[in-house]
Amino acid sequence: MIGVVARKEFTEIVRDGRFRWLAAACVLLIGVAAVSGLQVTLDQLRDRNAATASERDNFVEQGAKNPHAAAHFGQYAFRPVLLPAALDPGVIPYMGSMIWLEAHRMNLPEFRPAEDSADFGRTAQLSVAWILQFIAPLFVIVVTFAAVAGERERGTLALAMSQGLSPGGMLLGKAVAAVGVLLAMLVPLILLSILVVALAAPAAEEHGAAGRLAWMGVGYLLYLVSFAGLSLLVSTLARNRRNAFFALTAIWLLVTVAIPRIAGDLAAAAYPTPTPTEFWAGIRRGDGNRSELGDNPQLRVAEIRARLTSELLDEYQVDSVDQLPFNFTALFLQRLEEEDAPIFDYNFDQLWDTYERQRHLQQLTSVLSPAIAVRQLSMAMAGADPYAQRHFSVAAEQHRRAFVSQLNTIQAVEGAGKRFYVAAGETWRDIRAFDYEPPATSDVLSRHLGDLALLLVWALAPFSLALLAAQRARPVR
Amino acid sequence: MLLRERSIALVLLLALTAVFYATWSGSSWKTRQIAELEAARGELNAAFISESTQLAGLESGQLALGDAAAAGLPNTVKTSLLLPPGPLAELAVGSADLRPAKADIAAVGRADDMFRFYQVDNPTLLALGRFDLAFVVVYLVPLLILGMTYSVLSADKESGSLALLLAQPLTASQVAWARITLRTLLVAGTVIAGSLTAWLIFAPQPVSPEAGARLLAWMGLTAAYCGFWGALAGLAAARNRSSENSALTLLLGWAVIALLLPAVIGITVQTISPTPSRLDYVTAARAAENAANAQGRELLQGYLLDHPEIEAAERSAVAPFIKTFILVQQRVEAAVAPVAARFDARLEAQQRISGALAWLSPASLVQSALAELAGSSLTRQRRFEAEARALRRGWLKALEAPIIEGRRLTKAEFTALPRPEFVEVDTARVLQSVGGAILMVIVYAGLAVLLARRRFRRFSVAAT
Repeated sequence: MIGVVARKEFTEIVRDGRFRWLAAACVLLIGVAAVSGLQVTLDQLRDRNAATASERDNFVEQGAKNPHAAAHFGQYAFRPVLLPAALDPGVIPYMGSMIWLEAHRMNLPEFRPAEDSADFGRTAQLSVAWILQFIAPLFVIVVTFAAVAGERERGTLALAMSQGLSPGGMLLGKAVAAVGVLLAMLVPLILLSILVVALAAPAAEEHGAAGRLAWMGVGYLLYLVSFAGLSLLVSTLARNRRNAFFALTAIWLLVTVAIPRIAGDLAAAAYPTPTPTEFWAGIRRGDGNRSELGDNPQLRVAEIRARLTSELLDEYQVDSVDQLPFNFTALFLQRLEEEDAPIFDYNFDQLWDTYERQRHLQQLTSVLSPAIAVRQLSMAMAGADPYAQRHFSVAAEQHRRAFVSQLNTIQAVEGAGKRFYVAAGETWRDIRAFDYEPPATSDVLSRHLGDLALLLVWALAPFSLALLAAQRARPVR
Repeated sequence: MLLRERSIALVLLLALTAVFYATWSGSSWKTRQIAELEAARGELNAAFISESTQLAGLESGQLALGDAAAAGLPNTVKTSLLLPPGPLAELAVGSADLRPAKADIAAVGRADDMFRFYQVDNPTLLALGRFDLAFVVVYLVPLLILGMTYSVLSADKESGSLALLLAQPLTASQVAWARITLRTLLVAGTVIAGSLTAWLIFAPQPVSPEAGARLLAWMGLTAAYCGFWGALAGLAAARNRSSENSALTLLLGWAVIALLLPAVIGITVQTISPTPSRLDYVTAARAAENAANAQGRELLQGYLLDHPEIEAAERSAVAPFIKTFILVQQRVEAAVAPVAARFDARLEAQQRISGALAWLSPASLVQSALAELAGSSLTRQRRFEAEARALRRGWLKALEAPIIEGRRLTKAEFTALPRPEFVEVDTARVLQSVGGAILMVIVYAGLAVLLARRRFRRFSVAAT
């Protein structure tokens, strides 16, 4: 009997003119967004690879100079772009696209693409993810809001009951049909996306793209199923189609538009991000490795120099740093780096932990809006969330410390006994290039199991409640 | 009678809640911005007083050089240009939370260093945008209007009372427009009065003198935009379809106008005029830096030959490498100037196309106009950045010779360095451009009314 209801409902939905129009519009939009997203991502990949090669050439060919001057010339690390970002650019426009790695300083990623483009507003960005998060739920609502309320209004619900169909059976049949329609639309799209990405992707840039896309697909499926469940629940409870439609429109507006923004405001209010002045003041003060001499950076540097001098003179039993068997300045520069490292770690961790706390608070509000959970899961899988940025920044900083240390070592050894040492132009070829591997899919997934669990609850709970409501529902009101 | 309807009371309550929350949220953001700005201004003033006092002490001989070694060094003197939040930024945050509000001006340092170190905000929250009053007006208010007006005729028709009503000396068009006008006015009036009250309660003090005129224009724009959505509801009523069909059509209309069209405009602009790549800029600058570094010593000698009037100080207060550095820096900036100009030209072209296409969508148009009124638009931000670049050029011009000469600035030279405040965009010009937007929204509303009138001529109670 459930199968009969499901088949009848499926056929009715597919034959409905509104469904055909909306489905065609959705597929067209998704197609346009996917093609354009892929184009943008491939362009970004090409630009990044060219810039990385050019940056390496610039570093290697900087000519003869003092190693510390080479450390100040520094290197740029360019943030990678993962292929799933073609479908969900996430917060890429709001993240810096490169980090300058230089002596003495850990920098924030800079040059956010959103700053270098016209203002298009932040509510609407035509990407596959945006369509699936905002427009597709509307589509699900339009297709399913009348499922039970419509039968009741037409009097066919009472008729079906009189034929021996249980209310639960009827609802299950309608649920199967709704999910079937979604699967029929989504699965080919997801498979097509994976295929396109697989064909478009150079092997070196793949980074588990298929797995990441598959998890994105699972997230979106659960998300849209949750709207189908909500729609059936409201349709079961509503007096008529009109009430069902309005209640669902209000829910859609709250869930996809209002609650995520309010959750963002609340997260920012509960865990305020430091202002730029506060953030850099913490670093200037030396928070994380405070000097006994107070907040003055000059005094702190002088103290470090005096301490190192005294240690080395004692250890090597000499009267002056000029008598040391290595270049003292290089050792001093390296000691400064080592003393600064805990300060950078502490302050940047504080900043990123604030982002993390804000994310957790937003995740809690996913109880009210599955849109928050699916957004976080999707952009994480696309490598387009703040964690991807943090992972990249940490790797870039490790590289910075390694290459600055390498340069200091060269100066310490080769520059021994020389007041001003100039290294040969070929020296820079031996300095390691930055080689970055984004986090594995399994790592990203483990961070977002909570979002997946919430989406699963959202997918199942409304259906269960709808079943309960259907048991008690009266065929006529 | 209308106010006694529970659903209408609920809609108005929702509108007021959204307006109050949004104004409070925007005001909290602006209060924080003002505090940050005041702190920066305080630091600047303290540094200026300290440095000029030290220079006066050095000149009068009251201070020994060792007590004020860094005072007046042309390579270390610095200032900042500060961008205060716009006159109504509490109502529309716009691009203001994304772009820099402070430019650090000094002779030594890369041009793009002026705007570094501000990108500490969580990108997720930035991407979401704020729940400010502009968001309520552009996205939520239309839905409230449509929710109150979608069935002005169809409800009577479905209950069978429309035929009775039209038996009176009334036309369907008159009934529909009277109801729509009343309901739209109710929503618009509630939103406008609520906004004004919330603003008076929450707006950070002191209020900018330009705020009054801008607020009036804000209300005018809100009213026109509400009118546009009311006119669309009239068009839906004239189609003479069921309540469900009208509601669905209006909801999809809202989704297309408020969400889809702006998104399509965005992607069209990106396709026609793609966002320029910063990578080109950075790689060009790096290559130029290498080339200029290689000629460092020759650059200094060449400069001295070109400027015979410059005499190196007997005991240079400026380290020799700084002299070379500033010339290398100028060489790099000259080399990347064409890349930077191309970059800016592409960005401006993109903004022009985006501005032109925004006229196609009333929602985009109103959003841009509200940001303009609030003083949170991209145009104002870019003007600030241009002023900062001009100020830096002025500082470079004034400090180049003292750096090469290796001498300390006198107190008179130090205090004469330009330290302008940001010049606020002229309110009259803003009002002029917003007036155009209001006019355009009225034209859109008028078009919808004309189409509805044509449809109403064929209106029949019997038709479905």
